[in-house]
Amino acid sequence: MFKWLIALAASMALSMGVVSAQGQAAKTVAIISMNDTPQLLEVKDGVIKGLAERGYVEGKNLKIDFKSAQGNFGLAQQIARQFVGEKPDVIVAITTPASQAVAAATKEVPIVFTTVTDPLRAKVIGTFKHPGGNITGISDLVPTEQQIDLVKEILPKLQTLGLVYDPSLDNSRSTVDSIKELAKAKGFKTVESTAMGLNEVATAGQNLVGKVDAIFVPNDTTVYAAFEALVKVAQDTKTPLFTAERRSVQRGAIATVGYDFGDMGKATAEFVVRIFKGEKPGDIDAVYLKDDPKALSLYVNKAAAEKMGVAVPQSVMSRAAQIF
Amino acid sequence: MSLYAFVGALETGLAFALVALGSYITFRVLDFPDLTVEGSFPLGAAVSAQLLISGVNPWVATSIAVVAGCFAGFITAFLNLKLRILHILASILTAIALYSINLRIMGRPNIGLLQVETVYSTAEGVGIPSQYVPLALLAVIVLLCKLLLDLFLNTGTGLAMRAAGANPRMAQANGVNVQRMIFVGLGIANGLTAFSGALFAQMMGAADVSMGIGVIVVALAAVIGGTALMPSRSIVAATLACVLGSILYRLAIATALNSGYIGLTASDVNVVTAVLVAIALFAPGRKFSLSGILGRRTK
Repeated sequence: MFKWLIALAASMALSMGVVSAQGQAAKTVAIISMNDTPQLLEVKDGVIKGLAERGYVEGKNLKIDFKSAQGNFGLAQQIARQFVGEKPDVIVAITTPASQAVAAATKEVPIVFTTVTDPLRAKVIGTFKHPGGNITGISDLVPTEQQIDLVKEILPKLQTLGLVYDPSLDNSRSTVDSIKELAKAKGFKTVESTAMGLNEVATAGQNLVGKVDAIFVPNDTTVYAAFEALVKVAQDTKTPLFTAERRSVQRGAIATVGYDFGDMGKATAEFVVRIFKGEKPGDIDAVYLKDDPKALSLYVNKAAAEKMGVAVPQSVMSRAAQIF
Repeated sequence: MSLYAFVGALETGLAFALVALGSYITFRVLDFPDLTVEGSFPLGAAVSAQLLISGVNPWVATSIAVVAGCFAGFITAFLNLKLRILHILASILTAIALYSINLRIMGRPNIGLLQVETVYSTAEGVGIPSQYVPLALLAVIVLLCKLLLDLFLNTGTGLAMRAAGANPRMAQANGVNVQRMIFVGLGIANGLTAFSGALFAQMMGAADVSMGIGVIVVALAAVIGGTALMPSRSIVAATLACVLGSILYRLAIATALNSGYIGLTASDVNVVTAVLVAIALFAPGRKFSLSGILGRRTK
């Protein structure tokens, strides 16, 4: 059996000897994501596109290393260590747990977090302005006030709003809490229905039918992974369905005031480039994407609205940046 | 592979070695397939995290987490012994219930621990360079737990537990309270697992309710892989094999992560795990049999 140990040791020695050949001018960006649901991959693609738009093209003067932890925390930690050991120019961390793992792994390598709804609560940074240290980034905090206002504009008689989300996602938890606060202030009720995995999304939707006037999805990657199932439930039961980002409106939700995960990624690329040019992450203010006036737009899916028996008022349609 | 990744693999391997030891007790000693670890691992993380952000001393918080883990083990034992639910199902039920309980304990799915005092920060200033402190601390903890376990399994109660797992009816006939042995064994095993969860969360900088996913596979890879590579009758060697198995598993993953030239990606980890365990089982001199996997021969 020691044969196997020797084989393992040999392969380890081999890998230690392999030094990746890096061009002198090439920048390296290591991207870690907690898992590879389609939305998170959109963020990653957005980062790469955003970098290309700013002159850093993969293969020419940019090297990208992307790894997903498959939802496994032990693996996330090992990926974080792996990245830090390779000393990239920047590490981009997608999602809250990935950001925490990378932040715990290094205090030197620059880190840009993205798709983290509440970085203060997650203790990834201590403050938004001038965070100090080696981390900065973008929060995808959902502009819940504007979105709820939109829902009420389309459905003025809304009294009960259903919320479908995955209770294990911290980002969704933050958004749901925010909506519940708004509900108290604006005088409507909320009903929560949770889906622990994408197999339960349709059931979570069905549980709300009849109890709510509309369903809202708070940018939950689990629900988005099985979104078509929820759309079908909404269409079959004529329950209006709203979400917090653009791509899901294209897939069958009625409307949103939001951005999409690709835009999230492109905005992240901006931070990466600033660090390439020599700025320290601690000096770069972290931002909420929703505060960027160019980031939020109104999107409407007319066909979806008709299927759910909803007439979208002209005032909304005229403001829409894009109508699907 | 960089030194940093190597040290990281050692640290992660040591942190999960405690789960491996716990799974050794349940799967090998007691012959009780215990999947509670998927719930007791994040339970340890949740309890310790919640206490840590409330300002409790890290060692006290971690100890309370261990006790919580023991209770999780007792629940599984209760479901199996008193309600007569099949052992593997009882453990799954407890793990499922713990998911909701962990959410309740934390109040939300994720608690950040990055600027909070942890067991690792209390160990700073001992004279070891700061980047090796977690490694040293974990090595000491794992070694202590392993030695205590070895001692325990050779005491009267420990021997009774081993007898209860090897041949329950014979043990019962000889005056061993098999039910109590299962309670104690599951309690210890899940206490160790919760300990592991608390240590890992403090190392990772967060406690997250999804942390338990995949833990049992890792633990079994360590136990099966370790004991197959180092087969032995003695307890001391078997527990060492579990610890080494956990470390080797993490080193193998770190190697796979680093070997981009082979074309392996992080998403191939599951396949890598399966292949490793298969290789370990086919190691020369060992017959591949189902009873071999369940450890009826070597305890």
